[in-house]
Amino acid sequence: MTLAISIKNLTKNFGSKQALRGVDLEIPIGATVGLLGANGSGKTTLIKCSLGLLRPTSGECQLLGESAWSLSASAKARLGYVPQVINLYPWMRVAELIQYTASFYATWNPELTDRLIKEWELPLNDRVRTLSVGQKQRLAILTAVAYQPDLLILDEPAASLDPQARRQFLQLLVELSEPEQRTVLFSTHITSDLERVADYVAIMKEGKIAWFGSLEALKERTHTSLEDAFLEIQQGVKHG
Amino acid sequence: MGNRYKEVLMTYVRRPFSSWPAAFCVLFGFYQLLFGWLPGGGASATSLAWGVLFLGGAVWLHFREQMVDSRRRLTPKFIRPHITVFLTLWVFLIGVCALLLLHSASLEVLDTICLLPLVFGYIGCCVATQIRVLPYLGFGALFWIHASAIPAAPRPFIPTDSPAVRLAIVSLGAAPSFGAIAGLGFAASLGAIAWMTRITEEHWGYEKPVGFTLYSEFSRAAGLFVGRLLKHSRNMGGTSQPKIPGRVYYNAPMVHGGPLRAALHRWRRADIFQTRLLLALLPIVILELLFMMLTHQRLWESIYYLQAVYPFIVALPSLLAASQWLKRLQFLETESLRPDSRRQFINSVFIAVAVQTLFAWLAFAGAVALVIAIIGGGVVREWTTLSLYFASLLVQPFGYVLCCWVLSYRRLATLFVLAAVAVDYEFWNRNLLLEMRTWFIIATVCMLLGLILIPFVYRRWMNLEMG
Repeated sequence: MTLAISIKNLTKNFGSKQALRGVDLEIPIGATVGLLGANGSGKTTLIKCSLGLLRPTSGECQLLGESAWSLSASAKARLGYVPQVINLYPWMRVAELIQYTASFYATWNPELTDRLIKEWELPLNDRVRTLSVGQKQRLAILTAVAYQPDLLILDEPAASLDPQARRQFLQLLVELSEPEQRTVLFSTHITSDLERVADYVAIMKEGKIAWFGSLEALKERTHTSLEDAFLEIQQGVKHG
Repeated sequence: MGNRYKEVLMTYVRRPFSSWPAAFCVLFGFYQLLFGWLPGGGASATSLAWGVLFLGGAVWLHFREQMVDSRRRLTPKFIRPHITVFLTLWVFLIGVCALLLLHSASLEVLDTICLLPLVFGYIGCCVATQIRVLPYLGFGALFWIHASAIPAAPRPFIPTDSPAVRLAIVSLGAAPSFGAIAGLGFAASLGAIAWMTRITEEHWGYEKPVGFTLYSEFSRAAGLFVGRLLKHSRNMGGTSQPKIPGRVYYNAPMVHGGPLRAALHRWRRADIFQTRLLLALLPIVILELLFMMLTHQRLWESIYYLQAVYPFIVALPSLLAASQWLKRLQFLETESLRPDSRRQFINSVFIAVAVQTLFAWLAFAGAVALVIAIIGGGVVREWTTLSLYFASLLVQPFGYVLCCWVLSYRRLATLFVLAAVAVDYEFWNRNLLLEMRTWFIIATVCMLLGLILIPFVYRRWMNLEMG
């Protein structure tokens, strides 16, 4: 099985605090994985380590077959990322930011860009600093998906979106995850979002992957809804 | 992919014009570098120094902003276009400056080649490392470099017989030779580039603000230093006493005691935040003015040309205080530190603004008086000079009202600030002297305008502050 993400015994310490305690995770190409976990369980740290934004304390992390810490330009071109805290250049206008980002990607899709700008009503002439949190989130998503990356990693992407924008975003996510070679990993707190989009679920607890498998397998295992299953795993309820 | 390079280059154009202070700095730098050298433009080596500082600083700041951006790690082929464009601009700026320096015929070619990379490299070191003592050292070094690099200048290098001043200037000259410093500048700037490209989010994080300026770094460093000296730093921007739930505060709870004590405390609590900024400004302003004046060749021709610096004393203090307060408004509106009552708020703000304007005025006037005292040996005591000082002090509150009113309209403020500073600078740079009567007329007009605008300013303040 070809893997989009391969993480082996990953640990990450911040001083004396252990954020990741030996994470093992293998995500096959074409999977759409929802990463669930309580606040502080290590979701963002795991995502950042897997992207090479944070250097792991120990362990190995591979992305699209390359070491995450030293990704080649071609691997970067196949990678899309939406961070939890949106950090776009505040002084740029929306159109300028899109143009600037597009210049780095040969596979940039202008039709998709135009469609998302229209659907999400992004004000092209406004400066990024004047946008609302939700608008910034949409812009960040747009700049991460418009070049149609093979691997899309999103850290709580729908957290700041209003219900309508969230629905549109989930539809987009479903649409993006349709091609067989595209892999999507997204963290969320909203289990209903995850149920609509994901076919695999990874649940994090105290810096470890407490459960990883298909959504159906999780539901069968616990015989409950995803939310209850998540709570049960968090509380350490054992199932036969 | 040429498009990438074009887009990166465009960010250097778009970035400065995204906010008026940045636009002003860059335009001012360009003005100093280019237009000052036209016939009758009043150019001097000081113009070049300003141009280099503002433009070099802007280029370095933008480059740093891009290099510490965590998208660098994930965007394909991000580094090469950014470094290429930066180095091209760097070389271009140095080339332009070198030509201008050579055109002035004040410097040898070798000196020029050594001096400019050093200056640009040094600015880069300040920006990249954020070590706050570096800009101060830089000012000293710039002064010495400028003074000693023009040995043929038709003026005395040390303008006074005062042993203290001579010692200070000579001690600045006890630095290594030009060549060695230039080499270090090159190495340091290249090292800074290499170092910045290695920065990861682990070091800076997403939350790290990168849109800082050299000016704010100066201010913060000096403010912290003075604040610590005064043992106020622990109270700055907040309260030293526990807050009562449900009660709204301005900067600190009221104290009870006599009216004098209350008034003093009110001044302290209202002023403490801004005092920090103003105190931070003092050494910078004095250094800047000393640097400009001591390196301005024509000042030596007649001490009376110093009158041309009066626009600085008249206009800039109130402008500074107003801009600082308008910046403060955003915080007051959102941080739940509202005053208990409107009356209390007005009292506090009035006292704070008055003290700050006075401080700013003293900083400018003090620096000018100091230079006049050093160079002119007591010309400052002339009654005309003194009366001008007092007139400029009287104008401050009204100037403050005027500035505040204009600055509260951001788009208009851009033009106003640019015009005010440009006129100020041109007066000084071209040694334009006005008759004493003209100054008093300007002061009177300014006061009348201020009086007319007070109600409007008050309404705008209330709208912004009290919701």
